[in-house]
Amino acid sequence: MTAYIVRRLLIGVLTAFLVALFAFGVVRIVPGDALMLQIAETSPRLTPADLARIRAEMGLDKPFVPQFLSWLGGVFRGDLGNSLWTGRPVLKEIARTLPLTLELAVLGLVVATLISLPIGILSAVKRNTLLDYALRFVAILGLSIPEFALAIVAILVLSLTVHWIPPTDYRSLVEDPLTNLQQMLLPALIVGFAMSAVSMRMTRSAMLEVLREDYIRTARAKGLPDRLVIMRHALKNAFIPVITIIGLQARRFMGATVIIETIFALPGLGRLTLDALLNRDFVQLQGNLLVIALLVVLVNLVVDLSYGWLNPRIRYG
Amino acid sequence: MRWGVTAGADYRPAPTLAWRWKRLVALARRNPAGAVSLGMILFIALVAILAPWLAPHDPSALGVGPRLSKPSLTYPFGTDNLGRDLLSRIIAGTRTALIVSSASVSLGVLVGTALGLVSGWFRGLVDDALQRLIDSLMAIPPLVLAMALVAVLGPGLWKLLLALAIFLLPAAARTVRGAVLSAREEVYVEAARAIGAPTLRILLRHILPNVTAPIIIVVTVHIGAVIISEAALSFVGLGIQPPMVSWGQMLSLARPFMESAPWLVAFPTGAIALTVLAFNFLGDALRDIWDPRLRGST
Repeated sequence: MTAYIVRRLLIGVLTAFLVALFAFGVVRIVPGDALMLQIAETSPRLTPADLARIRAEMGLDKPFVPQFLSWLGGVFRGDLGNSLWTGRPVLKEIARTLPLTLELAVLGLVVATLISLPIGILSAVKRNTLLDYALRFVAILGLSIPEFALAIVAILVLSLTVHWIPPTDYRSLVEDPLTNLQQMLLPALIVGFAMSAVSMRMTRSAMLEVLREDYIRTARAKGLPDRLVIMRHALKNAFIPVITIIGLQARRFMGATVIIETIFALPGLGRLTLDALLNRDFVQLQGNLLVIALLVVLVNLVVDLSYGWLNPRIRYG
Repeated sequence: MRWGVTAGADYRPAPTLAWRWKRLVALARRNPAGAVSLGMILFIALVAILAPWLAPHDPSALGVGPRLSKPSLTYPFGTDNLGRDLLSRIIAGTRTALIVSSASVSLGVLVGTALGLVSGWFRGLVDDALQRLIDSLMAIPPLVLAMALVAVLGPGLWKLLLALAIFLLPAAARTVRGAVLSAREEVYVEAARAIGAPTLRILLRHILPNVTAPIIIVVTVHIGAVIISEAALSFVGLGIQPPMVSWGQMLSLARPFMESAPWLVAFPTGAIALTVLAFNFLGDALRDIWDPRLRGST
């Protein structure tokens, strides 16, 4: 187990380094001049002097490797530079917006689990019945409607039918829990539903696999009631593959929040990222890319480690 | 009649057209969802190809009808706030969605396959390095990465295609690599090497055919995600730019008027959902057919 953890941690560190290289490199795949043109076209009020200052601040006048090393040094000191748009420290902006996104992630995950687990089990136990087909259809539908379209439709339907729109002025969970939950409910349901589609399909197939195992037959043969066989023997083992896809879900979620937070006017990391994109605030953008990717790497690391812990066969692989 | 068994002898008659058709019908019968979705996709593709002739009006022409008129016989999908015909715009959007997704998917498959072939064939350090690179590439959500690429590269159809190709690249590379790893141990590959066939020829003639089925599955499974992402990028203004029409762009234009004109939201959403649904169903069906081990999974 220790060897497994150490190996996995080392790979994690390597991945994190490469992720930093990507986050920094994506912004620099075009020559500095082309990048400055993007900035100038987006904010016409910048004077040539401003542009020269931005160019120097981003280090675009230096070759790639020294630029990257100096930025990486900053990352270790907790200094990701200052936003080109607001002038505030990039890291401070991220720290301000991250809690909301994490709250949304947790709520979404809860919603996804509440939907996908029972439905996935039901679908597997009643497989190839009408109920199974219907549930699977809903799951594929969940994969087929983009979250942002679902969000717009949900807002539209709620405002037209029950005349309810989420409170617009954002309050954090600490300030005003009730308002906060009202604001987070709809977005959490939407990202949760989208995530549940994948989880439900995974739960179903994992359950089907497990239900074929000998120990399930043994449990049934010794006269255990069906409910106990499924809850005690099957679910525990079916859960392992379901956990592993949380890593994939984290990636998808971070992509979805970019638009979902914007639609619901939530000042989270996703919206900060979209604003940085639209304003061509490349310094903020590379910082956000780094943090988002590191979060995904971290979630995957935790998932992998827990997988090794849950499934002894993996540890010695 | 088979007298002695000669190695590799195959007495099956060459498949005739009628035989192939029968097999197709049998497959369709076993896979109704797949057959229906394939029909849907053919229909959607036809709409995309015939778009300029099918659309009753110019999708960008202003004031074709009254502003924000409800769906009616004259304007089956209604009109938008500038009096543009929504049906014509949906049809034009179909063309955009299919062109963008098929082009970027092809690009992603091409590059992904090349990476996968190299990774699986040479193994060792090259493979390790490529796999770690793909790992870290996969840590950045593809949607965010695509948006960042567009923001950096600037607007333009080609740049959008390039950015969206990212979606498929890791999956294609991984799938091809896996197939290569198992195929390179086959006797026929050893034989080809023994007679001195050059590496490139072995890769293209003996290894690549093994990869076709898994690649087609990867494509159908991911094409939906690419269509959704094009819509998302266009929705936030980083994707398709006017005068080209895209479903995502239509949704974003519809937002200010959606309460008085809900059809402006309903039709683009429906178009996206139906198209992606068809591809997702087809992907599931193909996986059932070609990979029985995964039958009914994920």
